[in-house]
Amino acid sequence: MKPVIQTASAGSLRHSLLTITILSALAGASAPASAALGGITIRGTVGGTLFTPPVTPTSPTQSVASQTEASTFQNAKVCIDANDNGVCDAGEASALTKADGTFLLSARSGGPLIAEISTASTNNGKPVTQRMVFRVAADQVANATFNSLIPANVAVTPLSTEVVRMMDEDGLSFATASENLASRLNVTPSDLLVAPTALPEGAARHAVMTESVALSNRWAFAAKMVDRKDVSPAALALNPNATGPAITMKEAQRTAMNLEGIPRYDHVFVIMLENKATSSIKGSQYAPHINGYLNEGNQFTSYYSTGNPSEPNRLAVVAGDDFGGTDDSAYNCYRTGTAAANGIEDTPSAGTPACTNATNHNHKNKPTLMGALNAAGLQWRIYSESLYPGADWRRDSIANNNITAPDKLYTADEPVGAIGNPNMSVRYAGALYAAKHNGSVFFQNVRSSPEFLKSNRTLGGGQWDDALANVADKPAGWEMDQFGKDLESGDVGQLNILEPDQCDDMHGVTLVGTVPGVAGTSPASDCAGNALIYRGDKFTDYVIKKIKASPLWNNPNKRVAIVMMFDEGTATSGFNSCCGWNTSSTPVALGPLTRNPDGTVTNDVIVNYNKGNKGHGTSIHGVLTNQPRAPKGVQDSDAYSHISLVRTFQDMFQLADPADDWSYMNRSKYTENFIAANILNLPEYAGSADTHFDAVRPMNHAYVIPANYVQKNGYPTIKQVGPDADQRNGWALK
Amino acid sequence: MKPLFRAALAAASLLLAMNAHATVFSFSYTFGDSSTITGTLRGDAAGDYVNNISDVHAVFDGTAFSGVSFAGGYDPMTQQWGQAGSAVVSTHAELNNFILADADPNGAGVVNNYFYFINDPAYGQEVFAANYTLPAMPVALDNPAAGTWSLVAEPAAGLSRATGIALTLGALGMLGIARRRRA
Repeated sequence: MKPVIQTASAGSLRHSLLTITILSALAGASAPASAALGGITIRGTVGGTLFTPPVTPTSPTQSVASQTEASTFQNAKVCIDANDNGVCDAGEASALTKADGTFLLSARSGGPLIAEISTASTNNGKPVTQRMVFRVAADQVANATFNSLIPANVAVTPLSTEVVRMMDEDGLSFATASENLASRLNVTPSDLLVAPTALPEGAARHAVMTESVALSNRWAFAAKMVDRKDVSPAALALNPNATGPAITMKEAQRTAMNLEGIPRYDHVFVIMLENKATSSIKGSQYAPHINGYLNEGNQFTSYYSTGNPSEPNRLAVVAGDDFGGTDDSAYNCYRTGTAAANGIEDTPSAGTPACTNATNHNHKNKPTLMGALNAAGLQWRIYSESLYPGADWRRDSIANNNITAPDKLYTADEPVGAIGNPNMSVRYAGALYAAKHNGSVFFQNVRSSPEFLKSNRTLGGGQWDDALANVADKPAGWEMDQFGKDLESGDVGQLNILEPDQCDDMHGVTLVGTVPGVAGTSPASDCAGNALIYRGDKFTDYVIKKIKASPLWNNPNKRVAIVMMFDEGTATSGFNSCCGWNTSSTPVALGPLTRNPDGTVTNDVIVNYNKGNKGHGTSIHGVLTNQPRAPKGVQDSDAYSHISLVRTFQDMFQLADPADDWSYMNRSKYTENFIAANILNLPEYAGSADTHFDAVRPMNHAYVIPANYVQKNGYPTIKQVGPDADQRNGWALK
Repeated sequence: MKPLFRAALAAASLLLAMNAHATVFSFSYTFGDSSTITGTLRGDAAGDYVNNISDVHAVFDGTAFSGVSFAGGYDPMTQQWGQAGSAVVSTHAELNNFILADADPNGAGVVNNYFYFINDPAYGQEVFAANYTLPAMPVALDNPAAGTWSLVAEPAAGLSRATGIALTLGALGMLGIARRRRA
């Protein structure tokens, strides 16, 4: 800015004046501003992120990765929430944000701030489709005031809102809540509470923006609950049939972090093991570590697989449905090589069969956890062990006799006794990495996603890792243990499925080795029988110890959980599942119910659909968390299945709306109420002998099993009898 | 020289001296959002600065401040207001560090109207005006780069033109009376 006039310069005078001024001010510094103010003024920015979901059509050439940009909100109403009710009430001083997202607000007195971002607002100039309310603690305003006459500069953001919610939830001070959140995100408290647009490029900005996207979804959902006048959770706690009063914004923002009793976790690691019924593991001398962890954490003692063999269960674990799959033919959609082919599905590969969709392996346009997470700005990972460096995630690993590793040796004091040959070189077997165990390969919209290659990563600890790390054709930068690196850096997903190879997961493959001076090959020590269980038990222990040693686990402000589970049990005959399962072959189940845009309901017709979701008995399912206040020793005997787990994850990561069962994917929408309301379209449930057992619910231990209950379906040796000793929630944070 | 004449001459000289050093300045700042604050102050021009600020009047968006009794400085080191008389007011916007208020920010009164212009190397440059006496509590905030600052001496330097003329005529009148009495 140019002055209008200039008079003669007087540098010395300027200096003396400044000196006098500074001296005067220093003298005054001992007596800071003490005058009362007729009003206060607050300025700031309403900021956050503009997230553009990925486009994931069936062709990767048409796929577009998600985008997140730092943003400001225009035409948002900012007010001093004098009565702290989360609403800009009449009479509360307010101002609208300008084109740059800033506001200037004067009032008689201060207090907490809120910003009402309505559908009349814009986000970086783009329409806002669901209103949100952001909040700022009064203490944040006070902290931003270094001179009472100079307007405090405050950023109203999703993260400032989370700080207030944490204060409400746990009675924390502003300082503690903001420090805890900063610690969770690995940023400084000062970075935490500025608009993302004000942060320089770097790790802090990335962390703040990533969290901003997740929180924006939660706050949008909270506003949705308020707008549709959901019943207050406080009222429902007193009377489950209460019809009022309506939920407040403050209640809604707390509820949005705990859908259906499933709290938000930052990271969940699912260790997926293979083919062992509960009776094979629980109390087994060959699974001492797993039993130790089960006792250390919480157990779901009536957890059912949904099918047989592996692939249908993997489908159900990531999508809440096996879509009629009954075999392990992977996605059976190896490349056709057509000119219109895309790189993911159709790249030619000699000797592999063409894609045949009729066999329930290549699923198109189906919702999955992977797709839902990415659409919400969240991440998934599938960490797989013993993949040949750079090999195709869609294909089983190929045997290679030139890649060998020492046989595993066990001592006499171990459960399996002294086994193993120190002179044996064990060959890298085929299908140690098995595509059938990778839930991401069965869905064309997942394979076509830009996230597919990014999210499939390696799991270290394999017997052949050293040899594989030294193969001549290893791609540059290939890590045999990306999981280990990601644990250190924090670059893991919200949902992480860990897939050990087919020896470390207790599945078993033919594993042989050679011994110098001995003709032919000999079986390796531990990829069959009881030794296989012990090997898997030790690998589970290795992985859990690795997670527990990570910065993630040891930061209590990050909510981290480990799930130990098996894909299936061993109930090879009959109907042995629960909870969204297919209870009958007749009448024919056509496919998962879907609601059309016009509100009509149709079955998603899938060939052979009635053959799937039959179950394969129970297996152990344990949950460990790093939360010091979380319940320990919970034994939840309510019936759950992989489909329940998918519903649980949808709640955990806010991928669906509990008030709308249709928002849950595939069969995970099949709650007891949903089945009753749609029984005409669900012939398989007609005449259900046990409507609770047959229906889906999140794994929240909310259901109290009646005292006179007698289980009618399910695995015959696991029968629920009466209520549990305590009803604590195995997923609770406190 | 008769004593009365000497007194009248001294008074006239004083008034003329005041006319030479105590100047009335008009100031104005137009904010980027078109809000304006205008006013006058009396002070001594000293290079780029105006010292000894007094007799401040300010009008913010058409409404006069209820009375500016305090003109102080801003200390970037402490980020607090200085004492009365410490205002750094300059024709150069980037040199300003002052607050004009209806009460001493460090005192026991109530600040309802104020206008500050600060250049803080750490905090930044900022201009702000508020009138909390009005129901709408109008405020304006700016980075000086977005607005326009003007500080100009009134054409008839010194006191306000009418006052200066009146005082000068008064002094000359006293001289005339003395001369007549002498004659």
